[in-house]
Amino acid sequence: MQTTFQNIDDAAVIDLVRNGEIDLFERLLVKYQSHVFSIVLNHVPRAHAEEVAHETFVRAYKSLSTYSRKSPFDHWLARIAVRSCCDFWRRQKRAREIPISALSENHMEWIDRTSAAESREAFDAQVAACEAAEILDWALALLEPGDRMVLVLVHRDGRSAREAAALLGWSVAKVKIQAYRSRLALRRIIRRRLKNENDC
Amino acid sequence: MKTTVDKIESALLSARQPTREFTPDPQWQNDVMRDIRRLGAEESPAAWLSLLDGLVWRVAPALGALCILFFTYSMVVGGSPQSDVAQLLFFAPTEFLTTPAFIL
Repeated sequence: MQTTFQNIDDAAVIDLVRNGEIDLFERLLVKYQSHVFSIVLNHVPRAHAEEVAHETFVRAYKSLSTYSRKSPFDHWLARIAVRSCCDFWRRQKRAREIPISALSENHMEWIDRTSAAESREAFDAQVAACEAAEILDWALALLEPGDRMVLVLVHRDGRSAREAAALLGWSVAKVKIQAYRSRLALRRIIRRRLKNENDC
Repeated sequence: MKTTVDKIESALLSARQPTREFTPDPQWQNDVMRDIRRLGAEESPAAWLSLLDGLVWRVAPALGALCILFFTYSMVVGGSPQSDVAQLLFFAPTEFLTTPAFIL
């Protein structure tokens, strides 16, 4: 059966899956898994990437009947992946499964070095240090799931409010408000950390 | 002049996760397909329900508007048949007496 479907495009595969050729969904899975993993790894820890990517594809299958082809399939799938990541953080927030790790001595030194960085080169070196990504993870873990997603999409990845709204399924106005609030929340976390450091 | 908070915030938001190759477990793809096949097998009632679900939400605004229209109409005209009979009796008694004959 599979051999007769060798040279068909995504649209035809989707139609056939909708009409009961469930095994053909594997084609979409193989073709788009790296795309989905690249999105998922941008938002959730590596240890949970498979679980969230799995959920993304199952959701995609369940909603395949609603896919209207107004946008390319990979864009549609990206929206599902981002929403699955957001749901993952909501579940984590409820269950508190991932403990919020404390900052280490190295992280505190990174904060000191970054505060003292005067030149562009010194600043870039700090950005490239692995501590930066670790401290960002630590700070993101303290944010609300929605704030976290919007901060990463808008402020870190540089997506427009419209793009983030499409990915999250929110209105543009909500994204703008949440992006502003999430940034304030991040600044509050940094300020509190600095204050604690000075108090010690 | 950038404050310390500005600097740290800017450094954090520019930070990138170290790019390491990620390869899912070889079993992962099979697990996803197993779930998809299971869903496909129990699909028929679910698909019918989801179709109905979509239809309900599509006609919901029209039904809502219709309800409001009927409510407004009944408020303006008066929905109780007893009051209509009373009005007919008081204001057009001849018509009231002949109406049953016509209906029968």
